[in-house]
Amino acid sequence: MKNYFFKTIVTVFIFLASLTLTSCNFGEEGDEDEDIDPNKTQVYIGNYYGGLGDKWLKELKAQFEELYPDVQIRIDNDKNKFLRDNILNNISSSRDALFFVDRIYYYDMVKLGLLADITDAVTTPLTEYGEDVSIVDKMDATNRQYYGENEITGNKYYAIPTYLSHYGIVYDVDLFEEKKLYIGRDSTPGNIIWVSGKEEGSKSLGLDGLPGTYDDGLPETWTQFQELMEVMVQKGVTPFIWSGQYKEYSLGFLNGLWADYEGAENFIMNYTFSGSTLLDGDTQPTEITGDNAYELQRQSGKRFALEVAKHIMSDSVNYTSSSTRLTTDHLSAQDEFIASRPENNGSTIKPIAMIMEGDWWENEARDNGSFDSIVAMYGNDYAYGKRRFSLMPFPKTEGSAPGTTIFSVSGTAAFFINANCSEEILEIAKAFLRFCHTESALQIFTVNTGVIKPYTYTLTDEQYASLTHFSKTLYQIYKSENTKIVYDLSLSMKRINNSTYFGNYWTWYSNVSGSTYENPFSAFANNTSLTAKAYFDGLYTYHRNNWKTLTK
Amino acid sequence: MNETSVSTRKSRLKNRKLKESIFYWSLLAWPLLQFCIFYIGVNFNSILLSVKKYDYVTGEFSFYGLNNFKTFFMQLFSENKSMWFCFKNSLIVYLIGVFVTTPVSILFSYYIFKNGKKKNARWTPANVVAETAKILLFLPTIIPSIALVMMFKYFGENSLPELLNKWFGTCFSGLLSNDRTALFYVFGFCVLTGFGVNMILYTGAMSGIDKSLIESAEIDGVTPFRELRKIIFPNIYPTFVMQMVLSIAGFFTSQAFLYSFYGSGAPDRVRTFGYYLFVTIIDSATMAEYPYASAVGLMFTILATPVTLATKYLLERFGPSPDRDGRIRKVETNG
Repeated sequence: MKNYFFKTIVTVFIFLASLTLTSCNFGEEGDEDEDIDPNKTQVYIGNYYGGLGDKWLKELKAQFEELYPDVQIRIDNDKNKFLRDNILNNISSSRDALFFVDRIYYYDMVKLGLLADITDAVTTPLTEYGEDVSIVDKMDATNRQYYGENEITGNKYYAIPTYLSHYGIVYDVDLFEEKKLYIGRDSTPGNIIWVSGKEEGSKSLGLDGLPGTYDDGLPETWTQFQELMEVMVQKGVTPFIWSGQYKEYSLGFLNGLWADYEGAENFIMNYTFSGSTLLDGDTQPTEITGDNAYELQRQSGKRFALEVAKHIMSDSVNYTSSSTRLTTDHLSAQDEFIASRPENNGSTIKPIAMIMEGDWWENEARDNGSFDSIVAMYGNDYAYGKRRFSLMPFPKTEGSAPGTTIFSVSGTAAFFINANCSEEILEIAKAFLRFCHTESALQIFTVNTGVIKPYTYTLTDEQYASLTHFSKTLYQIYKSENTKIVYDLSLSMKRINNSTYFGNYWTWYSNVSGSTYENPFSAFANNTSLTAKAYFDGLYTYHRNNWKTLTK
Repeated sequence: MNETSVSTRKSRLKNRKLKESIFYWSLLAWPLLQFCIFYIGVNFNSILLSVKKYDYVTGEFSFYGLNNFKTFFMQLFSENKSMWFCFKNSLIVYLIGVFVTTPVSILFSYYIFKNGKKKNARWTPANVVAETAKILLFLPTIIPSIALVMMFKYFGENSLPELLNKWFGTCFSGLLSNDRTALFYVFGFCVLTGFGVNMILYTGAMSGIDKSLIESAEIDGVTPFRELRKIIFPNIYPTFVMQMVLSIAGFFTSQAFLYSFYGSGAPDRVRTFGYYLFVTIIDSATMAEYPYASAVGLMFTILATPVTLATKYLLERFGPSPDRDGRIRKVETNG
């Protein structure tokens, strides 16, 4: 008996010890919708299952398997597993050959030899799919520089970008029409006529000066935007909601304002640390280098963004009470925004006009079931695709750059191949990667997700018509000749060497009289006497003080 | 014949010993290997890393002298005061632990020790109160801390402000998102959740005290306060010392549940050293930032070690001790 007990203990001990050897791959089941076909070669793709879902990938997988009958693509959907730290630590033991993920530590992974060299796959024209251009030919100069044409990667490609996204102002088109919140074409400076915009040609021309475009009837200037907010409040509408838990949403909105004010040429200096720019209050331009880049904290775009934040926070009628709470995540903010219409739907919540969100939000809200609960109560008119939302351009003010500058925050969202896969799998993975970047595949991605990819491609009229109102706006903005895109890609060694500092602190950390603030919205909410000017000056103080502590 | 028998016996014994040692080392080998790799190896590498710098172009670490430590001190004394807040808050957490949580835990433990239900005895009202207090105070330790944090977070951020809004008609912000209340709320949480483990330690230590000692004091008419001071405390003193030493060592590692409350975005004003170090490492996943994170960790160890050892020495040297109970007992019998 004693011997039996002892043996049991030893067995349990050995079992537990062996778990540490086997990396505990419990739960890694892959695509549960289909069985493994023993007659085919399985290639696994790790898909970051976030706002973009997997509908697009399933469609591409089906098409690819038709072209390559001996191959079975299996999709591993997960969110946590494909966070950048988890990928970095686990990729070498992962069975996934391909990865489509939200962000990665690109240069670290390259230097650790974790990514397969895909230079040949991305630089060879896609002739097998009837195209005479390569994937790289479809990419813009910034992405080419970051991913392949640089000293760190040795001018080789190990990953390519996946999608474009930016934070901005999403507004409820139906509410604007219902409450007559559009600026009428007959408006004059100082006398805005608010219209529903339902009649053709009744809305003002907007920033681009063209009729029939997404910015018609929307405020062009900061003054008009302020008036719009006032009118909303008068009409019983809450202007804004945002996630109080994740500051990325409210800070992303400020970054967008800052970028749009500065324009691409000035804003990209925050990533290159090189160039010459006229800073706030100066009469002569300042030459920016890695040694004095903290001077960029004096960019006037930052001052403007802070003035906007201060104005929003100056009165609690401008935002929902949930916006300042740490318990409001992005999904509950989306829920509240969507559920705020129709008015008097049984709740005491006022209709909410605008949400600070990213390009992926509508797809994410659909997957999260935010539309379903409203549909259950009020019918299909409130379903995804029927409810109309759109993007509002950032208002301009004195000194703003012309055109639209988009600050894309998904620069390091990447598509890549695991270095730890066999020659056979590597070849199939490269073929699938190439297939995913054909004109047709890029179109499929946008049609299914509503999100745009950073490659040159065009939707057909039919495909465009199938997009939601919101996605059509996105497409118009990104494809407009007046739009310039700046990516959150570090293009200077100082930024690469201090990625935490520039990722977390660079944008809005401020030192005002010895007190550090990290989020203008919460700073203005907590300290009503704090001015936008003081916060702006504090940005410079904070970063000048810290500059010496950064690695060159 | 005899010689053969002796040599066979010796050989069997040798064989048996060999088998025993194989078994013994086969059990120990794995944990030892893990200890060598994951403790000695990791820490040694960490020390080496603290004097290195990573170069992305060459993909190699190179010697960087004491520059990472210099950066740490520059940040410590920076005008931005981030580190000052860490120091201040860590100190507050420590002092709250020493002057609030520990004394209250000892008092509660003493109450439970004196009034807890004895085996085969009948329930009395005092027993009920003591046992209920025991469960209530220990409950936060049983419930996963993240669940407790969620409850507190929703209560402080949603329920309470809504309630106050209804009562007073004014807009109240959440207790965690308001700079003026966040610190108190988090520290209050630490106090409430800090009782459980302390109470287990102290009631455990108290139950080990010789009953005849307490009975004789009771016969002599000792007051509860005097009993606690003169008999109970000297007897639980080793536990008290251990706890004090651990809390000193935890000065640089205590996160005060900030990561559970705020994730990696806690405001500077509420940060502690433990949180700072944790977030520095969590956020510093690039190779260029590992060396600095190693230097910070090493600096904390260098600062904490002498203080911890000195505290241990002083508490043991000057505190009461049941080993020197001749003096203590004399006082007790006089009392």
